[in-house]
Amino acid sequence: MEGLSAQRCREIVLKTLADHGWQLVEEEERFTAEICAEICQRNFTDTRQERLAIQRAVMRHYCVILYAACAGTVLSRQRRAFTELWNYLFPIALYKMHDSQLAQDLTQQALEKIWKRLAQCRDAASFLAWSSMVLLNEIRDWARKRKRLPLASTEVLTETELRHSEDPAQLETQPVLVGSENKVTDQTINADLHQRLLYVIEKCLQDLRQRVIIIESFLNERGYKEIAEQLGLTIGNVHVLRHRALRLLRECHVFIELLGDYFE
Amino acid sequence: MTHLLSARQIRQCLVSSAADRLPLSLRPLACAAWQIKSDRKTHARCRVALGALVNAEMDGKFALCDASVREHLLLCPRCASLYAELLEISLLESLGRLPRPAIFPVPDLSFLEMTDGSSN
Repeated sequence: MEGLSAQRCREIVLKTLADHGWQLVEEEERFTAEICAEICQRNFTDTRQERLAIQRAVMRHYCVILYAACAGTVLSRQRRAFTELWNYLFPIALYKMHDSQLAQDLTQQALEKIWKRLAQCRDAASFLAWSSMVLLNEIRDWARKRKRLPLASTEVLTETELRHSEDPAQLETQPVLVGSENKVTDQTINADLHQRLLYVIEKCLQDLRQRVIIIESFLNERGYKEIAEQLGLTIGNVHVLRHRALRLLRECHVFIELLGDYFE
Repeated sequence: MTHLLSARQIRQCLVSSAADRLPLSLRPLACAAWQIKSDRKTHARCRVALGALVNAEMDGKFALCDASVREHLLLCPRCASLYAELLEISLLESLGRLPRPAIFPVPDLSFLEMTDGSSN
């Protein structure tokens, strides 16, 4: 393991388990060895990236154990698993609701729903993400019934948030706008159409961040996280800016003209 | 002189077989702008896969995920909104930026002992 010693990897694995209070691993040595073997096959530019990758691997591997314990028949292990799940979900509910009692109620409802719908989780390695989705749906239902949005909803984008990283000069230096080195995965796109699309996007969208978001999402097939990192925005902000950019494109005669060329 | 189609006419084209005339690279953008959603089956498949998609993106493997599900995320505002929220939560959690209460409340796990036929 170049750069990363097996000992250091082991320490990070055990610390990640301890930090989360995850106690369901039965064969610690094997669990650690599997993760470290997986990590040592990858190259990292810095130790922070390496640590994050180990933590992510721990989460994936632990999710499988957690899911099995939740779905299992040993009640003591099942109780432990659901308690750990609760400890994972409650801070999310607290973050969204800013109200401890409400967060508690919604987490409880989510936990019972997770129990009833365990079989619907198709990928045990994503069990915590799937469980978070169940919780977010509970929160959304609650908000819908009361016709109000949760306090920390990604739908909310303040102007202060938007001003963050709004320096157009900085954005213009980024290679994505023209001649990006990112491959366009759709092989059918030709250079002319690509150039024309870039022109349309530039004409229709004044906000440079919106241009970057549309180009990266639709031409370079990048996900929210990468785009958010590139622009120094939150994922929620990227989502809202993309939504607004699409509305502007729909109303933009240059884009309509481009589509009209194919439909007429 | 070229006649400019109205936004409504564009929508009609996008929901009809005329949409096939658009290059594949342009179609998702046009459909997303006009909020033309993919079929229910893909929607349901996307919902089921959201957790795995979040994991993939967190691990830098988003491009390897099912293309039809990724495309649905571009088209469906509801799935995209839930996905963004879920991804943001995962990111905050991984960075340790979610609130950590000093004492966690205790869940009521009595439902575990009330196993009925519908469970699992």
